[in-house]
Amino acid sequence: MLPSLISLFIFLAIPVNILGNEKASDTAERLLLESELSLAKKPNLYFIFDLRDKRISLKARGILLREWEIRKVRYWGNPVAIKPIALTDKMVLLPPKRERIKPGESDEEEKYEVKALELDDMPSSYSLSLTGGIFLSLRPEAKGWVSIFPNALNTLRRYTLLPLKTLWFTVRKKTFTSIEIVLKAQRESQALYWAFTEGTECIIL
Amino acid sequence: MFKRKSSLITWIILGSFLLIFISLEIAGHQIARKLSNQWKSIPLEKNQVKMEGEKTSSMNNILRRRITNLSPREYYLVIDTANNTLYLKKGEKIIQKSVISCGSGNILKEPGGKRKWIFDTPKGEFAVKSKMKDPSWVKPDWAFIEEGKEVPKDIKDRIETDYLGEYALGFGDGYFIHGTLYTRLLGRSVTHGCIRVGDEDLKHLYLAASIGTKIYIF
Repeated sequence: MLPSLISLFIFLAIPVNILGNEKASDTAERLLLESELSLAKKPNLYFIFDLRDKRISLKARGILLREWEIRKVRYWGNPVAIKPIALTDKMVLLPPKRERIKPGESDEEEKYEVKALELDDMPSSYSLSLTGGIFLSLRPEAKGWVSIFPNALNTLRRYTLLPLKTLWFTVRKKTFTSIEIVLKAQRESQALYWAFTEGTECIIL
Repeated sequence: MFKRKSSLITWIILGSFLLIFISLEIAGHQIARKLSNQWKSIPLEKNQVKMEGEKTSSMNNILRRRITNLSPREYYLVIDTANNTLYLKKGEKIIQKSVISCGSGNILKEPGGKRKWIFDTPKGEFAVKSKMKDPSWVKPDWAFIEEGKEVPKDIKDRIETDYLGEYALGFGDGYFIHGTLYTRLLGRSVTHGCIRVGDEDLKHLYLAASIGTKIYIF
């Protein structure tokens, strides 16, 4: 008797649950599409951080320009609404420095010597501050014994700084969200730093 | 005696700091636990209204079509400045991939003046505004300042031929996609903001692009 009752319950409960999930994902997709449409109408590039499918897309007019694969993601704090938000600041320990040209000092020989700000000069671990008290911290995946130090730092940050920041934002009656993203490789992380400029809008899903 | 007293005070101060820190930590954790979704997917906000299943689904298809309609139907260019790569595309298909040179990101300051130039390739959406065969370069002020020369008053003294290659595609504000004498430097960020392309690739781009062709630079 009991097994049949359990089977009946499962039979009735599963379809209801599936329908509920479909409805929620349809609504989430609608909000994403509406937000994306509002961004695609503008002559600007925009990012979509799809944390569920673990990918970051750089787009313009709905065209995919470049994609990044997310290895790990962690959230902390308030949920993020599916709507366009803008990058306000890039925070990094040692920001990349531009070379200053000394007028009249370049000769024909120097034309083949590259003095430039290139992808390799970009940081691979950094934080991005977005409107609405949202902070993204990005870093490449570290493997082997090299990973011990950055992982320890991140754990320390997660369990000391984040609770204090949450408290600080709550006291000021402001929302706070921290999202930790680990990308596949160093160059991937550097390329994202390069492409994501201040003022660029994005959607976090 | 004095030493003992001072070490006791130090311990009391350190202990108090530790106590304050732990209290703040616990308070932060408690608030975070309430606010946090504990590493689960982010739920929808309350004000993000629930929709009826079928209506939402068909609306989503309409929205998807509206986004697709915004993308260019003809050829367009995608320029990856980080990797110095240019793609000529139609729809999702890559027609041509070229190694290029983009802006160096260097800074030039006018000696004794107020003017400053940052040699970045601009990022965003642009369109081809002009097409030129055998273009001449009208050297701007910064080109003379960089060489440590005096800026000429006569425009004739600014014109330089054979510098931009056989073709040039202008995309506004003095920026061009053009050829180069320095083919060895293709793949490196060395320009003053323009995009240098090798001769063969440039010819294909010139033939494929027309006025209004979209350029996406990131």
